[in-house]
This record gives sequence, C-alpha cells and structure tokens, in this order.
Amino acid sequence: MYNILICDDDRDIVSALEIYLGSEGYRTVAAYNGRQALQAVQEQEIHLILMDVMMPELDGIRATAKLREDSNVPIILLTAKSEDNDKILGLNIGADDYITKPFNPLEVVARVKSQLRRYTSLGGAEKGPGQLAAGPIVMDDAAKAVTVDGAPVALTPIEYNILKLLLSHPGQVFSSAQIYEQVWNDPAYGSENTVAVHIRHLREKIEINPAEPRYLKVVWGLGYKIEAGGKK
Amino acid sequence: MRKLQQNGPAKFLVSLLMLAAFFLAGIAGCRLIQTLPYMVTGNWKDLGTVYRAMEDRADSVAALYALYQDQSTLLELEAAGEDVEYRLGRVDRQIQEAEQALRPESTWFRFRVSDIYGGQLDTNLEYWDALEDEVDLVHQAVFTPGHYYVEHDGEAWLTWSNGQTAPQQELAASPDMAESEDAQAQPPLVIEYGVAREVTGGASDEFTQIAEEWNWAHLMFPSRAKAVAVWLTAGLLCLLYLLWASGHRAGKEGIVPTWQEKVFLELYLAAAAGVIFLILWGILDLGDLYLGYYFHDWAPLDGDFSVPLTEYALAALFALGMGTGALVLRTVVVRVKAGTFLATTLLYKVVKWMARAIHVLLRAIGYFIQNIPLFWRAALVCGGYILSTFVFFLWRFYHFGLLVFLWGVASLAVFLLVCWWAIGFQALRRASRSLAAGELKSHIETKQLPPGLRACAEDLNNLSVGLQTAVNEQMKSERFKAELITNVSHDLKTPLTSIINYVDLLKNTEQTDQKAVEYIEVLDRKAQRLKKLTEDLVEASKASTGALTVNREKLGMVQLLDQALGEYAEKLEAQDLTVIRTMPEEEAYVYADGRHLWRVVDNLLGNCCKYALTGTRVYLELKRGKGQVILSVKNISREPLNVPAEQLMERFVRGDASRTTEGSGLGLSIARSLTELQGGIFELAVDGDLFKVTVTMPQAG
Repeated sequence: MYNILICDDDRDIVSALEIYLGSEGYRTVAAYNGRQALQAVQEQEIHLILMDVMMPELDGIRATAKLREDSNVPIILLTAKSEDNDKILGLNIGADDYITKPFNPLEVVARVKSQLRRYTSLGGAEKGPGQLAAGPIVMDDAAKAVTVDGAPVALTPIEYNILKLLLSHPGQVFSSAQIYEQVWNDPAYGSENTVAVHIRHLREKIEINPAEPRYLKVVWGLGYKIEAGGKK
Repeated sequence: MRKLQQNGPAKFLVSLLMLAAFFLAGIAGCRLIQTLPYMVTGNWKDLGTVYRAMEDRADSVAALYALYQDQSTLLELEAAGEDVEYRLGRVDRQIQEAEQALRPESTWFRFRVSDIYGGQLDTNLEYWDALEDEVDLVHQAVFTPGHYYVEHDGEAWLTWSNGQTAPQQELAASPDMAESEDAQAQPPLVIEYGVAREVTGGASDEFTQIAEEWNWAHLMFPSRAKAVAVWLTAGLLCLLYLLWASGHRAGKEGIVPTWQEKVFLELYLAAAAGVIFLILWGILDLGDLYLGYYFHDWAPLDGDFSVPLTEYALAALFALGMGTGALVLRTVVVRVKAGTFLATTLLYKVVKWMARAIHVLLRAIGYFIQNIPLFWRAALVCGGYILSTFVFFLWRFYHFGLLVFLWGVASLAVFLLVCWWAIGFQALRRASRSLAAGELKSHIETKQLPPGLRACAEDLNNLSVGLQTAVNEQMKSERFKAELITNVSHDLKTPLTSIINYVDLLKNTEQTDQKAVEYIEVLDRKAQRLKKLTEDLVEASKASTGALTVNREKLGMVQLLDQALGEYAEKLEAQDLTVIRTMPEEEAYVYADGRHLWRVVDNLLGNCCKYALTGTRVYLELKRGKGQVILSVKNISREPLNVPAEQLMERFVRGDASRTTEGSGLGLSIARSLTELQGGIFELAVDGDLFKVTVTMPQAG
C-alpha cells in the first residue's frame, strides 16, 4: 500500500489521476499547489509525488527543490509546457521523471510503478557482479537475462547483443555501421537500416514510451546510446 | 538681516552719516594738525621759534649799540656846530624805544654785554651774575658795534650752561679775533643771553605767547586725537555697513547691479582717481594756506574769519575724497558679489574679444579647409611638402641653419599626420570588420580621429546603433512571441488532458447503450486528433517564429536517414510502400540540429504514409555537391493534387480538400520552418500526381 501525492491546480486532472491510481490499488493524497504538497509531505508518509509545474503560490520546480532538501521521495513532474528547458531544469533540480501533458493515463501508471519499484524494492545501486546496468535496466550476462525495474524482458539474440554493446559503454554514441559491424561481425554495406529497426524493437521492449525514450536514446544523424542516469 | 541689506532709505541715511563723520573727522584732523608742531618737544623752550625769537632779541641789542654809536657821532657833529637836532631826536627816540623793549618789565629776554676783555657794559639783569640763575641755557654771540646784527654763525656762536666758566678770556686771547683789523679798529662785543626760566606773571612778550601756545597744544592734543579716531571709526563703520548691504535692493533676490557696475572697472577707477587727484590737489593747496596761518605768518588763533572757513573746506574735501573712495570700494564689492568682477573689466573684454577673433579666424580657416575636397586637401599637403623640400634643396647651400630646421619641422608634421591617419584608418577598419561580423556593440572613439575619418566613424557608429536597436526590437518581439506560445500551449493542454483522461475513463466504464459506446469512440478519436493538432500548432508556431533553440553540430545525413527509415519501417510496410534509396557511399555530413532535422524527415515520411498511393514506390535520394547536401523525397499522391505547390506549404492546407484524413496540415509548414531555421532550403514541386520535396542543407567539413 503506497501513498501517492498528486499535486495539480486543475482539480479534474487530480481526480482523474486519483481514479487511475486508485484502481491500481494506490492510496492517493490530493494537493492543489506546491505549498499544500509540502504540507502533505510533512503530515504523512508519501512514497511518490506527481507534481505539476505551472501552479499558483508555489510552482512545481520550487516545490521540488524544497522537497529535495530533506527527502529522496520519487517525484514525477507533469509538464504542459513541453519545453526542453523545463524538463532539463526539473530533472536537474531533483525530479526523477517527467510526463508531458496531455498524457496517456497508462503511461502515468507505468511510470509510477517503475519509480516505486526502484524506490522501494531495488534501492539505489542495484548493479551486482557480472551485471551491466543503466537506470532500471539490468543485464545479467551469465544468465543472459535482462530485467527492467525487476521485471524480466524477453529479447532476441540480436537485440540482446545490441543492448549489451550499448550497456557496456554507457553514454557513448555508436553509429548504425559500428553496431552492425560489432553485432553481426560483418562489414556494413547499406544494411544499417536493419540496425535501426532492431533498435526500435528494443526500445519498445524496455522503454515505457518508445517515442520519448529515457534510456535508449536516438542521437539523430550520429547513432544510438544508453543514457546511464536515465536523465534528459 | 535681509531687511537691513535691502533697506534703501537706511542706506541713503548711512551714506550721509558716513560723509558727515568723515567731514567731522576732517575738521578734527585740521585741529589736530595745528597742535602737531608743538608736540615734537617736551619743553617749549626747545621749539625752533623760541630760538629764532631769542636771535631777534639779540639782534635788537646789537642794533641798540649801533644806535648808541650813531648818537655819539651825531653829538660830536653837534658839538662841531652842525644842525643834527632832528636826526639826534629821532635816534634818541629809537634808543628810548629799544631800551624800553629790552627792560625786564616788558620782556623775559635776559642778556648782558661785555667787551672781549671782560669789561661789563650793559645788562637787563638785576645784577651781572644773575644770568646763570635766571636762565636755563646761556647763549653767547659776538657782534661789532655799528653792525645791526649779531654774528650767529661760525665759532662766535657759543652757548654754555650753568656752572661753566665764561669763555671771554679765551675769546679775547684767540689770535684771529685779536689780530683782525676790524677788531683793532672796533673791538667786538660779547653778548650772552637766554630766556627766563619762568615766563608767567609780569611781562607779556613773544615768549609768553609761545609758551601759552605750547601749553594749549599739549592740553588739546589728546582730545583732538580722540575726536579724529572716533569720527574716522564711525565713518569706516558706516562704510562697512554700506559695503555689506551693497548690491541688494528691496524686494529683489540676489545682487542687483546698477549702472556703476556696468561701466568698465578701469574707466571707473580712472574717473575716481581723477576726482581724488583734484581733491588731493585742493587739500594740499588749502592746507598750505591753512598751516601758513599758524606757522608762517603768526596769524592769531582766532579772530580771522577765514580760518574756520578753510577748515570746513578742507574737511569737506576730505569727506568728498573718502566718499569717492567708498564709491570705488562699493562697486568693486558689488562686482565681486555678483561674480562679474572679471567680466566687467576692460582687460577681460579685450582678451575675450581677441580670443573670439582668433577662434573665428581659426573656424574660417577650418571651414575653408573642410570645403576643399579630400583629394585636393591631400594633394595640397603633399604638394606643399614636396615644394618645401625642393626649396630646401635649392637653398640649402646658401642658408643652412633655419631652413634645415624648418624642413625638419615640416617633415615631422607630415610624418605625424600620416601616422595619425593610418592609426585612425586602422581603428575604422577594425570597427567596420567587427560590425560586419555581427558585433553591433562595437563603438569607435571618434575624438582622436582625423576630421575626414571622424565623419566616417560617426556614420559607422550611427549605423551600429540603428542596427542594435533593430536587433533588440526583434529579439524583444520574439521573446514575447515565444512566451505567448508557451502560455497558450499550457492553457490548451490542461483542459485537453482532462478531456482525454475522462473519455478514457468513460471508455472503461460499463455502457449499456450501444450508441453511447459509439459516441465515446468518436469523442476519443477527436480528442486524440485535437491533441495532435495542438502539439503541431505549438510546434509550427515555435518553428516559424524562431522561438526554438538550434544546436547545430556536424552529423551524418545517411545515418539519420537510416535511423528514420528504421523508425518508419513498419508504417511504410503497412501502406505497402517500397522505399528506393539512392545514397552516396561515403557519409554526407551536414551542419544541423539532429532533433530538428529528424522532425523534418519525420514529417516527410509521415506525409508519404498518409498521402502516398498504396503499393507505389517512394524515392529517397541523397546528393552531395557545391558545399550542399540535397535530399529529395518523391512519391505518388493518392488524391489528385488540386493545390499549387506553394500553397501546400501554407499552414492548414492539405492535399485533400475534403480534409478527411488524419493530419493537421501543418507538417510541411513545420518542416520548411525547421529547415530554414537550420540554414537550409525547403522546396516543393508538384507535377500531376508526382509530389517532390527537396531539402538542401549546408555541407559540413
């Protein structure tokens, strides 16, 4: 039983989110501005916060900064601005994830689940011996098994090898040709297209929203990379 | 205080008071001067007039002896039977008068006459030796009987004080006296004389008068000196007040100059000096007359009516002089107070006029030079220099020193001029280059530039300022637009979120009515479409207003197209579209922002999926050349394209007029804006059903 604080100045959005999260079995607490959110956190145990950015009295960015002074509770920002700057600022200030409005309710639930799993069961550094990890993605090379937020994911051998290549060099950008040569062990002659298709499938399996990947990122015109922190 | 300064009548009254005080001080001064000659000695007998009076008396004794001689001569003639009665009578009368005047009852002059051998002849003393008792200082003189005057000068003039032995014997024994011819014929007589110690009670003569005057002067001096001091002080105090209050006028703030302050100071001073000179002249003339009453002509102290009149005249002149001085001081003080002291002097005016004349002259020369075209100016300077050099070489054999010096000066001047121009030109070039590079804040310091370049630099400065304002304006309006878009986007998205969420919730609730399920389906579809439209609208606005940040870097176009085709593989397959790729073997690098370029390609491929005829081929071609990378996408439209190519790129215009297909109609518009934002060219061509897009990006490295 987790307590989730929903903070948005639009009461309809709050009640819709309460319905979705309630149906998933979470207990919800409502707040309509940053000040109320801070108060709610003081009054009871909160396991996760969904926070709107644009709010009266105290906006989401300031509230997040304030919360981060003495708490590491997961915070997911709800942003309608969809400005890159807002996202970067929110993540830098201590938010764990963000969802842009208008959002898909299923995505919200998935992200909440993901954050809660990481926060409660897995803890901070989940990387064991012989394991590769980036954010919630953990690869056990001995068992040839991959889990995301603890949940096993079924990958084809090619997908597995691509992921392994990227995971072993977090942050490094690999071009399609490089990936092809390393995974297929063949010189690449115009077959890089297939790499892109495989990566897309891989993204669909490990990312909550493949169109907006958090970990397996497309660097347009250069290649692909794994972002270790899951930020940006 | 202010009132006292501005009170006109008070000032007039005080001026009169001042003149009166100076007048009174003048009168007191005249009277003081009367006493001054008596004040020089502590004893009245030391006065020069006493000495002169004693000499006169001694002379009268000598004259008496001459008369005695005349008498005896006349008596001898009478005895001889000549008629000299009248003359004898007259001499007798004269002797009588002289003897009378020398009697102790009528004078305080004491004397005794002896011959050179000490023979006692005559005295007006009670007894012969009383002289030393009655007189403080004994004078001795020698005279020859028959001469009317005592020989006062030379060694014969002797004085001795009490207690000293009379020097008659020595005198008689002196060889020149005894041996002189005159002395043998007429032995000289010795007169010893002085003034009685006390001159009061009894006789009244000139000595009594001098003593009285001396006493009177000593009695009057302190009070007269005091009077002078008091009146002078009073006058000066009045003057101080007048100076303090000068320049102020009733009911007016600050210093009000009068006509006196408008006259040149030098003229004023000259006029005042003239007046004072005349007054001084009068004072000296009158003063001479005035003092004459007292010290030359022995005029009585009172009784002559012209004495007080002269005093008044002198005092009036003194007061007038002081008044003139006060006027001068007043105007100087007012000028200083008003701060116009320098400005109202003739010297200042003259200097200023000269300075202005020089300035005008320089301006005229400058104007003349300025109106010569730059070319002729340069030619003139160079020509002058060359000519001077020529002259120098021509004449250098004859006159060496000065010409070499002049030539050196001219050379130095030309050298400095050239350096000045070069430095100015360099600064100008630097500034124009940085301006061209986009540094609009570059400002040229024009002060040190040569006149010709200065105008140019000022133009450049104005240009940069104008450009800067324009750029600032543009930036401001763009920031405003970006903010507006962000806010509108927020305001649209918030209710849309609720709509989508609640439609979704409705979908998940049990619906008994079949129609309701259908309606909810429509709502869901339209809500999703609204979401897409809103997102595209915001993006299109951002792209077209340039409110997007562009981070350009070197990236591979081939790689990007691979990635894009990977993303679209399933969608293209679903529409049964075959992609024909024509790409260079080498990577084609462009200089662009990866995310924006992806959006361009994304929109183009999206368009293919949406509008291309099912089962046809899509031609994707990448070419390099002339520093450009050209991507072209060709496909066959499903619907007939009844819209001109240009119009297709307008916002909300779509190939199908009926607008039944999904899509916002903003895709091409966004793609074009994003391409242009990255410095590329976006072109569209429609040929029947053939739809062709060309994206030209600048090639990198």
